[in-house]
Amino acid sequence: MLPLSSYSTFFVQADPSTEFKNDVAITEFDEDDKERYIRKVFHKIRNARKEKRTIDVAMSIYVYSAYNFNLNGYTLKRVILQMKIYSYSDIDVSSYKDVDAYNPIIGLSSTGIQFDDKLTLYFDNEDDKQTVINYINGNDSDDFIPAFSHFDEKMIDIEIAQRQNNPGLINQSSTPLCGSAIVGNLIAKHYKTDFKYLVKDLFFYAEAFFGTTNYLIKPRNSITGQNYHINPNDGFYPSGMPQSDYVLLTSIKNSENKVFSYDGLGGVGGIALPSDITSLLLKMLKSKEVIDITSFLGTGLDEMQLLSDMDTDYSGGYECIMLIDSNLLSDDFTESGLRPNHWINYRGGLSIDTINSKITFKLFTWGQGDGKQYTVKQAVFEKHFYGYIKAKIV
Amino acid sequence: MKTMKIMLFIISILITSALSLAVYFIFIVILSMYAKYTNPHPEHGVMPLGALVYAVIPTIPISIFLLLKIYKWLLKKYE
Repeated sequence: MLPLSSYSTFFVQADPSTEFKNDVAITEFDEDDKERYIRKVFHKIRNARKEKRTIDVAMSIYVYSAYNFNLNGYTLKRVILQMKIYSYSDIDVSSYKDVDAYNPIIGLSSTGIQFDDKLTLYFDNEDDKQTVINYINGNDSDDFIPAFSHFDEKMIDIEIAQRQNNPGLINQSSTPLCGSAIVGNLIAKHYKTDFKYLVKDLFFYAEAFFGTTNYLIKPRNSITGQNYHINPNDGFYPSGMPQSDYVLLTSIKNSENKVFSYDGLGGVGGIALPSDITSLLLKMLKSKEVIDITSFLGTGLDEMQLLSDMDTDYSGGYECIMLIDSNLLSDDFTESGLRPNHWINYRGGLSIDTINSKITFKLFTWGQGDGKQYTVKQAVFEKHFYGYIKAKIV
Repeated sequence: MKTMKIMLFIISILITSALSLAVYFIFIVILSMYAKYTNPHPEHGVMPLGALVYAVIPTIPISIFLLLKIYKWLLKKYE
């Protein structure tokens, strides 16, 4: 497995998600061909109309066209997908209006439908147009293949509902994706509806614009293959990892990584630096007052004072994300080979037993629920605690 | 001659930087594999964050060695 991304176009551009937010460019190249992308947009429109939500589109140019386009077995002679410049986001597809176009140079006329004055679909004839209208109205059956084609949509729906009720179920399993798990946990806790749309969009399209921030999560291509090519039934899939968690966590990580993919050698691609966490908190979740109080080497930290400060912050409405050596959780004084190596989410319930030098607190990690109680020796805590990041999520 | 030596030293630094980066990445991969396979609870994944720090330690002497070797080689070649 080679960890380097083969997606060379990514390196010559600035962060594409930033570009989207600033409205200065459309997108990076899509790994899909245009036909697949148009098919995705058809499905997006149909799905959004059912769920009464807006859509965002990520096209590399403003116009995509395809000939002899197959839609559920019906062949559309020609379809043109046209986006209005700088209007890729929050497209209201609940209603549409009929539009016509005529190209005097080639002498071709087209008929079409337009959504929110931003997104237009053109066709050669009325039959094609009516077929698409029937499709987006949800009247026809659908042979759309989701990006995560080997995954079970019903299972994902069940898991999403479970996580909306209990965000602590998000489980990184044996993967090194604790940083993404923390972010997923916060999304499921604070943005329940957006969490559902995020996971479902990633499942269907392998790209999703998150919530009100429209932050783009789009897993990058890599030599090892896209994260959505995996089959949950084969040997490479992390054993016991819930499908919705795989979709969400790997997509976030592979979207954020610049060089390594998450499944890179030895889990290098799973490394989440404090700056990665704070970046997602600021850009994706639009958190306020994000402060990073971590130390790689654990030097210069007064762990017990920090713990007290963290508990005060948590009581004051902050989310506190702790950087630890995972041996803290097994109350083991010995150090892991490479410390620190794990992110967990603090959940209050602090009590300090000064007589026996023990500390009890609640936390989220490894899908064990939102607020599993741990009791560890004070010496172990002081040795394995490397600070925390606090943020106020509004 | 002095300018030439400075130029060669700067070139040596540039070449060494590129090689050191490669060496650093190799050590990150080796250390992260070490972390992965020594995890006492493999069902609970952890990330090899420490690899980024500890990979610096073996990289430094190798980089100094490379710098000296490359500088000497360049001097010999162009003097």
